Amino acid sequence: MREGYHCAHMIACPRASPGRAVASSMAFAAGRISVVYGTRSSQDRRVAAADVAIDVRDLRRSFRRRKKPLAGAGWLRSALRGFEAVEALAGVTFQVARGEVVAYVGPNGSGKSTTIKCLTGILVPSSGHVECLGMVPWRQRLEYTARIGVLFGQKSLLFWDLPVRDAIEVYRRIYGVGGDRFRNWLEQFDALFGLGKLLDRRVYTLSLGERMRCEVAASFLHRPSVLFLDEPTIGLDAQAKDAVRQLLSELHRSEGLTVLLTTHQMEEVETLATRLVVLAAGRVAFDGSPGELRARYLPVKRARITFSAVRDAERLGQALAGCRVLERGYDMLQLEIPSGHEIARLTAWLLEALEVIDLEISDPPMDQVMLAVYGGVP
Amino acid sequence: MSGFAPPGPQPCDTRSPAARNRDLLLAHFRVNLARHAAYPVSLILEQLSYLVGLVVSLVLWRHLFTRLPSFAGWSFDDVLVLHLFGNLFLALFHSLFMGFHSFHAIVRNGRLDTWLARPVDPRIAHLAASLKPEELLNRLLALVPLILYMRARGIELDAGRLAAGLAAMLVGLAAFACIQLVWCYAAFWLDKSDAILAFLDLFYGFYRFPLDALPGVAQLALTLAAPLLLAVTYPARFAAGGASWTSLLAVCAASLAVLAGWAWAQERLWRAGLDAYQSPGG
Repeated sequence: MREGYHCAHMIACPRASPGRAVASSMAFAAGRISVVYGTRSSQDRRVAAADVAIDVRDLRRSFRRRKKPLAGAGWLRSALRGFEAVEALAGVTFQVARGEVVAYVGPNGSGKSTTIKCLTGILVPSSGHVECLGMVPWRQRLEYTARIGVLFGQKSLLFWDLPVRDAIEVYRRIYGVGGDRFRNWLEQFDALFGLGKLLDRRVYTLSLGERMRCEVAASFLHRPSVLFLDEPTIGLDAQAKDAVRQLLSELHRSEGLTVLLTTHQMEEVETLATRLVVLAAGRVAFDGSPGELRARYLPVKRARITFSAVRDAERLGQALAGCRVLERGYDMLQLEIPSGHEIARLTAWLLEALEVIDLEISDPPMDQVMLAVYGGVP
Repeated sequence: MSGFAPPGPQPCDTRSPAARNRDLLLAHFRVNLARHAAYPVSLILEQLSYLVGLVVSLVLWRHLFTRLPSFAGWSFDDVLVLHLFGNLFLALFHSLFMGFHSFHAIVRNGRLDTWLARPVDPRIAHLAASLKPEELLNRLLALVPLILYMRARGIELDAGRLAAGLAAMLVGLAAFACIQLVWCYAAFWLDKSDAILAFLDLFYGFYRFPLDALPGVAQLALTLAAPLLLAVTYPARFAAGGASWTSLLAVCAASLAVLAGWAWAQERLWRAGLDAYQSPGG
């Protein structure tokens, strides 16, 4: 099998140079990447054109839905005309820099998967501009899909009744992965999570976690520049989730991979992503870092105090003023502290007022933040 | 995890789309054959069923020809050649293109998405994934007794005529495949489209009849809808020595015209279908 050696980035973007992806990733992490923030809000953020891996502007996609089930006297008219257009994406705009890991989150039915499908060339948008790696996904599908990886958590790449090796062999042929590259890939993923011993097992005999590891490995067979992950850890146990996350994190770190990740697992977002794009009702409701999201939608801290006795009830009342008591027990207190509160003074007062055994101050869980986001979006 | 190569020049696939498709078809052919070889009893039963079907049809024709000297210019020996061509046609059609019957299923269950996201024509990918090499093997093996019977009856086919007839059959086969594709694409617009293909299925069984005995209008209508006449009847008659080279050329020209028309239609509908494709949720 003949193989040519050249850089995928350079084909898509002649100005790119080898190693640029990782450099831009590190620069982004250090806050040095050429990101221009809009003057009005973080939703207006723009990435400098040369560093853009994914550029989505005013993306819209409507679906045709039947208004009601076919039944009764008017079924023929319903069969022919009983459709309505439902707008799944109503003008989505965002950019992703090369080497960036962006979490694309939102409630069920908000349009996350539809966006991923438009970005991977599966769906043709109703209108708007989409460009990934300098290509329009649905127009340059063959060339484009050779440079991206796609993993749908709910759609298997493998063949149910065949050994994993057979599916891998088919994908190897599709992507033209030669012997040396294949052996290299196999060694890497065998070292990562023992892929070698899974290869000869039929897919239906694998546990979900084992199958997902094979799916992740298969989606990385051709070393894509951009990886689209649609709920990659759905249904996995904690150990398997951790393995997949570690793998993705490592691949991003070592290969400078650009990743767009949709998920409902907020710990995944915090572990992997440096930026969140929150979608609600087909529109971008927020675009920024997890810290910015917290600051905007749930600007509070949580405190959990375990104590053995109350020393000064008056001081305790003073300390709790302005705070919301979430839970109060015989020897435990859980508070929500609004932003602007002086944490140091509050802590000092609590230490004065109570015989403190343990004191923990933390950010609220990301799930709570997301609830606040979804609750605030019409 | 230090085994990963640093970012930099990456190997790219330099194969032509045709070579990529060929590789994919070969990979699936091997995989699918291995899949079915795992169930040998099922293979044997399928082969027996084809053999029984062939024998029953021939016994009926034999019985008919004991009362008739010929039927619309066809002798019993010609009918044997017709069965040879018909079964070859079915062997190829079922093993290569019958998988398109499940096209509506991959549109509805989202399997099409996984092909659309790969650097491969989804039609070729589905064709490859649904190849039935065991069907080819079974149907061809079932023809061995027919060929032996023909030899026992002293039927000698001219090699040139046989090859030309088979070539004409292949053009007709391609036209048939395009027609099937056109109907498959209804899945992009209809909630449930598999029943549409049932109409096309109706015609496969007619291969064992000398369809050129039909009136001209019926032949024309049949040719436009399901060109069995072009794929089986005329090539078989030619191979049996019952038609001239000129008539075979006319058949080939007609087959090519039908193929071109349906190929154009299927390409247009495919593109329109992809534009309209909604992809299942989840």
